Amino acid sequence: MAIEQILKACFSSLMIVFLGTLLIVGLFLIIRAYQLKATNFYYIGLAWSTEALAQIINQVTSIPESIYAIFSKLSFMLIILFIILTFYNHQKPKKKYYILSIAFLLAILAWFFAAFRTTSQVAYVINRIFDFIINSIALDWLAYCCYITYRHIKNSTIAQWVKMRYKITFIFSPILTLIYLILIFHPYNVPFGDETNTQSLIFYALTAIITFIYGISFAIAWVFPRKFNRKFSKKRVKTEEEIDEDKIMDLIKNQLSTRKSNGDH
Amino acid sequence: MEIIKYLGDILATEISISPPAARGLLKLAIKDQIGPFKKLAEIDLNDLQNVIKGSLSKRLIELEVNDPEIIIDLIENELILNQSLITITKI
Repeated sequence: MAIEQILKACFSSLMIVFLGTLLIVGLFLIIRAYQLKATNFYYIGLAWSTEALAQIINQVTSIPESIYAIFSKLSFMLIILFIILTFYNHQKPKKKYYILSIAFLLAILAWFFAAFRTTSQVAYVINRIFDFIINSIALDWLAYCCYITYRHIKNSTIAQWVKMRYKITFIFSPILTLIYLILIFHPYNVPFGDETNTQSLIFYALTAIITFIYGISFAIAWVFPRKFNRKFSKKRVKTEEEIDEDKIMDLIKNQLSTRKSNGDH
Repeated sequence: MEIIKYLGDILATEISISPPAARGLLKLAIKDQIGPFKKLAEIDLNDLQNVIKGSLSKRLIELEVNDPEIIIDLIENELILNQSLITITKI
């Protein structure tokens, strides 16, 4: 077996880990969304599992690009929905629909270019650029929202796993968009990861490494902390149950009167 | 619920009481506004906005806190800016 084939097999394994992780975490989020009645998590869970399933089916059966692109663009729309419902839920419905309509138009355009990407090199490059733009909008916007929240909560007493979740998301989401940037320069009419084409193999390796890192960090951010959270919650149950209105109001009144008697305004 | 912890910390700084007392005050305001049957985990952004503008504001006035309107505006603004804490921490 040639060294190129061995390398490709190694990088393919990394990609399988990434897709597997994406699918598992996506399904996990859908289940949790159902259990907790958290609608926005249906969207993000569906986005990741749709993307993973489409890529797996594409690798195994080589479905037409136009079909694969539907799932890929659907995933983009679902991430935008998640961002709106999670970070901008206070906005008026009209504004939300306006943003969603723009995203939908972009998804349609991206799908159109994807469907015709094999017709010419120009169409191929335009498709890659559009893919980069829409994925950058979704993932970098998500990263930006997480960064802003993280900046507010980083010095607060909020649990560390929550801060870590935001931190991982804003650090690693933009990294994933790098793949779409790399793919703009992938040679035309060469299968992705072709062992006989060094440039394609290098791009394949970079993609595999980036997605692998993303997959692991993504799983840590969304699945692992829940375990710590459960243990933490069990310790807190007692204090949550011990709320006594009179005691709390007396405590606050005492604290306020002490503050006033100390001349603190 | 981490959002209560976060808003409690801000409220504590604003009216110079201890963070546990501020969290307690927020939870009492939630109980006043929403009733005892809805779990904290089921509360959404709209509920919390109503709590802050309604029962929390009332309780701050009762406690004779200085400039309750300014504090209420600040807490509401912090809630909107960090609304993702309501759902992100559920999972």
